[in-house]
Amino acid sequence: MELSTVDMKRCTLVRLGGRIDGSVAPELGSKLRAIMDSGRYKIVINMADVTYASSACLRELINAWKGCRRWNRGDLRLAEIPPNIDKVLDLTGLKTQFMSFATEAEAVGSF
Amino acid sequence: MSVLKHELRVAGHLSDLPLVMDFVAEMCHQAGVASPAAFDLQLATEEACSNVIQHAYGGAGGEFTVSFEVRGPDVAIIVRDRGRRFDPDAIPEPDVTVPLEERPVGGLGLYLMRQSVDEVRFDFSAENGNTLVMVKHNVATISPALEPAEQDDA
Repeated sequence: MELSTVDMKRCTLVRLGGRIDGSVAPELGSKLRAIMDSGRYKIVINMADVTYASSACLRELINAWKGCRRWNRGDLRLAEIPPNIDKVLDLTGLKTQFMSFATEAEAVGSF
Repeated sequence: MSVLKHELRVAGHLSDLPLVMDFVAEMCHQAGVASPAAFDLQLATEEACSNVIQHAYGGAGGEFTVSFEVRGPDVAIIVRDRGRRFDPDAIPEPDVTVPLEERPVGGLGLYLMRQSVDEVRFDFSAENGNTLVMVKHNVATISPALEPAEQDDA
């Protein structure tokens, strides 16, 4: 898993890459929690370089999504979702729940 | 029917998952399984192994095996463990149409496993423990004859 974050003016951009399986998903969860703990609840995750994601990854995304949206303080939005990952989100009914965008710029601009 | 069959034995920790995934990826490559199907097989296998590690063995570690078998055009992945008996009927299927806020956590792994392959069978016996067989149809494109098959009838 590769993860880098950029604090933008209106949101935090997380660029995620590699394989997000059950062995690294907890690390993704703690990175996202750290962003929220610093008071930033508007998050964009660019998924372009994610090659694999299982339910362990989805659980962390769902937890962070719920954390961001609590008390209407923010949202977690996805950008540039690769086809394989898109299929997993679709199968689990998450595609209609997460706001997602074709480009990173659109996702960042949506906040 | 000739069968290409390889088996991986792991200690049973979450940190073993990348090894399992590499094994499935390599075997898919050898069997000529193309990208979307190879992704599905990796996903189903990880969900199965995560269940074994976290539920059958309760996260405490416990050896299990993953077998990859090419049966003509079909691929079968068999996961065997000796942990707690797994009862798939005890896991409610998640309603993926319900808004996230109202959904209980969990159940997605088994659901994804079932969505990713064509057959899922769970068996338990006191002698052999849990056996999970997952089969995906019509995905292998390279004849097992190209690869020396391990004649393991155990």
